Amino acid sequence: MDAFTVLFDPLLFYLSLSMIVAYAALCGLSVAIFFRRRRRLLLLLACAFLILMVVEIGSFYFEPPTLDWSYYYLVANFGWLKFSLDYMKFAQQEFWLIFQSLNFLAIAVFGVAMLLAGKNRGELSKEGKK
Amino acid sequence: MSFLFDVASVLMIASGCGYILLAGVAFFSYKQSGSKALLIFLGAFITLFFMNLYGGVAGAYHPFDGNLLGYLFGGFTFNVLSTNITVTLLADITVKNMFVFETTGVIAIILFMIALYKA
Repeated sequence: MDAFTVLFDPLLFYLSLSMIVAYAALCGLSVAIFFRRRRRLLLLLACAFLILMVVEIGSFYFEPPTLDWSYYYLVANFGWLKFSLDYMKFAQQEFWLIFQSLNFLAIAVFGVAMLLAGKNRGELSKEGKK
Repeated sequence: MSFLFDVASVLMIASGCGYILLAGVAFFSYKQSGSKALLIFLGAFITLFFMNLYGGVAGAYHPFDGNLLGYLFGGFTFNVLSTNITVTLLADITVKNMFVFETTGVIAIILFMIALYKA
């Protein structure tokens, strides 16, 4: 196994993929419960799970190095390619960072949802039902 | 062996800190409302904290010092033996770290599912 194939390891590939599907399922589940219970809190939770799903998709797509070890080979042999290769490498990292920073948005939405759950005294639980 | 905290590692640790703050908010809400589902949400947020912390620290960890990597990358002589050993070790460490990272994420998702079910 070399570094290029690390992120195409089948176990990691399917774990990442299952996380994306699971976040989508959580989002769908929250929306489904919202239609039954009509609690705004559930919409906020669905929104947070949707953001986390987008973060996972971003990690899944932009984490594997597009060039990896071949970058060093190409730079060593074709120096004139360095500018465009660096541009490509940094653009990939920037995109990864942009997607990861969406975690803070998810934290904010979750925070509002949690505050709402505390404020409405058991809205999330059965004892909150009338 | 060294640690190199780049932007990506710091960002992951910072989002981990955000999740631990969120766990605090969930605990505060639990104290107010007494809902058991909020306790499971708290558990999920703590798991996400550990996931991001692990990802950040493991991403910053370099099992070989910069000189060896610099030597390998700088000249690109493709010394087959040393390059293969280094690449294989790095790849193995990355796979193991990423497996722990992803598995922690899956645990958090399972906790979220239980919390939603309880709610």
